[in-house]
Amino acid sequence: MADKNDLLLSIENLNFSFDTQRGVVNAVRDLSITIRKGETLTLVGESGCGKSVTAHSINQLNPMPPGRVDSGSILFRGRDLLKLKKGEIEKLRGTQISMIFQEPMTALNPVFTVGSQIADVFMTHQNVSKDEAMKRAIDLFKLVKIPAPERRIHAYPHQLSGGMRQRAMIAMALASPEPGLMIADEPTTALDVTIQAQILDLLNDLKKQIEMSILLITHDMGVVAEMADRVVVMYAGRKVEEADVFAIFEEPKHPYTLGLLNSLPSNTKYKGARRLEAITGTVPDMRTIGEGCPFENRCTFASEICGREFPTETVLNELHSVWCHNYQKVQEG
Amino acid sequence: MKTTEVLDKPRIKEPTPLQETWYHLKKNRGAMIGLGIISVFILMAIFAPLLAPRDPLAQEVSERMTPMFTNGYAFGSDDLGRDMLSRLIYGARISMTIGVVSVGISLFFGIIIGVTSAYYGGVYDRIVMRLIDIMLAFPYILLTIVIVSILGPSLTNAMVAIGISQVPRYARVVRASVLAEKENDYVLAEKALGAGNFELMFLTILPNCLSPTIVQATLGVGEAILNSAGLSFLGLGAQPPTPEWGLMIASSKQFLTNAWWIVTLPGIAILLAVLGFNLFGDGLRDILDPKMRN
Repeated sequence: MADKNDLLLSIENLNFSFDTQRGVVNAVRDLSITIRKGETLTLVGESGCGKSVTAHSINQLNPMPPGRVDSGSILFRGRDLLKLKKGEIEKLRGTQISMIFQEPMTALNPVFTVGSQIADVFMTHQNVSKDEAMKRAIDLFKLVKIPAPERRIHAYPHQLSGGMRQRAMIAMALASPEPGLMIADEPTTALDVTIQAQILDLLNDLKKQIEMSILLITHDMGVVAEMADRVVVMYAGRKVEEADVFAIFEEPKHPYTLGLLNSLPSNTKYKGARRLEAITGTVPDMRTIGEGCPFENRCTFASEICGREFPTETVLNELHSVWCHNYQKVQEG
Repeated sequence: MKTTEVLDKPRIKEPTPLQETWYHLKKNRGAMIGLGIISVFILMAIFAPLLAPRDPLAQEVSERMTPMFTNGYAFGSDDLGRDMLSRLIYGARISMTIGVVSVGISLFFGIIIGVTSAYYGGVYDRIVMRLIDIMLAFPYILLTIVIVSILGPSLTNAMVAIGISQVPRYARVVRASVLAEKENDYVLAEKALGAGNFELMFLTILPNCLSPTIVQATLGVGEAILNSAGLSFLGLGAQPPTPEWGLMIASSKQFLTNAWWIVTLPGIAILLAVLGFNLFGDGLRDILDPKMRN
């Protein structure tokens, strides 16, 4: 596997749950992921499967309470983030771990110009003068390819288009002195397809220019194909398959991954799917999931053991692992 | 080529929020009238020594209760022969001060209480808001009377009392809008960029909650003027010979039948000042609330 020095972030056996009025929700269960330097890892899964909770537990943006970490560790550059004091976490946010959000409409403060919001980041973390901060903000606007940056810098968020706003968000996330990890929580979901492609290209370019890793959260397999080096597929808080991006598309091993791919339009190639196939049923209630495989009730390959225990990891090769009792049946089709 | 020309040309500058507000304000007749009245009173307050024809405290016993427009007394003189016009002009100074200071006190505490209880929530929020509810359960006049009788009757104490008695209202307005704003992604985004609690509360969220607060404060100035006039009328605010409008009414009410102007003119002054702030505040509310803007 990866060289130890190469490792930027490793989440080990993370268990995260929320205490709600109607019981405990285990939002993330036994999740382990690693991100190497310069790598893009995508977390894929449907709404409510724990993608965002995982991402937010890295820079501790989950509301706690009601959320709590039951066990596990999050090592970032060798330090366990879960053991840091509040002040240390605040220092880390925006300097080494930055984040871009799904909704560029609401993720910028409406009462300040975008330029002053970016300049603020420079001023809080790097002690530069206001003029210098504004100059750097303009440079960042150039970096994220916003036209006429000198003028746009003085615009309020509502005066910019959605794509432009998302670029401004990215610029803001890049305003860190030593960008290490950028968490992108569905950065293109709110944008239309052409803008989506532009933003993804931009992220790929930036990744090459600046040495940073991206944790990309998405439910769009098209975005995965465009961006990912490796893919982690999540279902109901569990990791069900992990592989490099080619293996996920070429030979998916988990029935859920297969279902996701089959529900993409015009992909006749996968296991003889001819028309759009939906995964039947819905995600189970997160409070009632027992020890079995959470996908059991929707799985066409399910056998008796699936309801009883969650499968252990099956390592197919050094990049590809799957958590399924019946993955061999999936292979056969 | 043409397109680049268009792009390079400096476009019309985007209006700042202040310019935008002014643009809409100009079209709102009520607000403009209110603003006019307020401006007149503020100018009167600032330039009182230059505008007042006489010393507002100087008594001229021979000229007692001079009717309006006689002997150089434009608004007549009162029962001690003091020039009514000068007293009214100086009264504006006192009323404006009361309005601004007491609203300032309410705002200061109201914002701190409202922002923190909405932001932190939980037990702290519940305790603070129940205390606020208790304060709201008292009629404000009772509350101010209690505070004034503890501190002693004076103009300063009246301001403090009025300021404190109005804190609950500002706390609630601020809390409500912070509750709505704090769930927005930009707060989370700001947090993800390393902002601490203080920064999040007062530099990120609060500026987004200013519109309803400004409206409340504008309406509050008018109300504070009215309240202080009431307190002075009851003898709990300004003390004689201060030319305070409420006090002027109180000390001359027995002359209503034979020298109506001594009682009526301060009343009209109060009316106009309060009306000005209310018109302006209502106009601002229409403008700052996009739902009511057409």
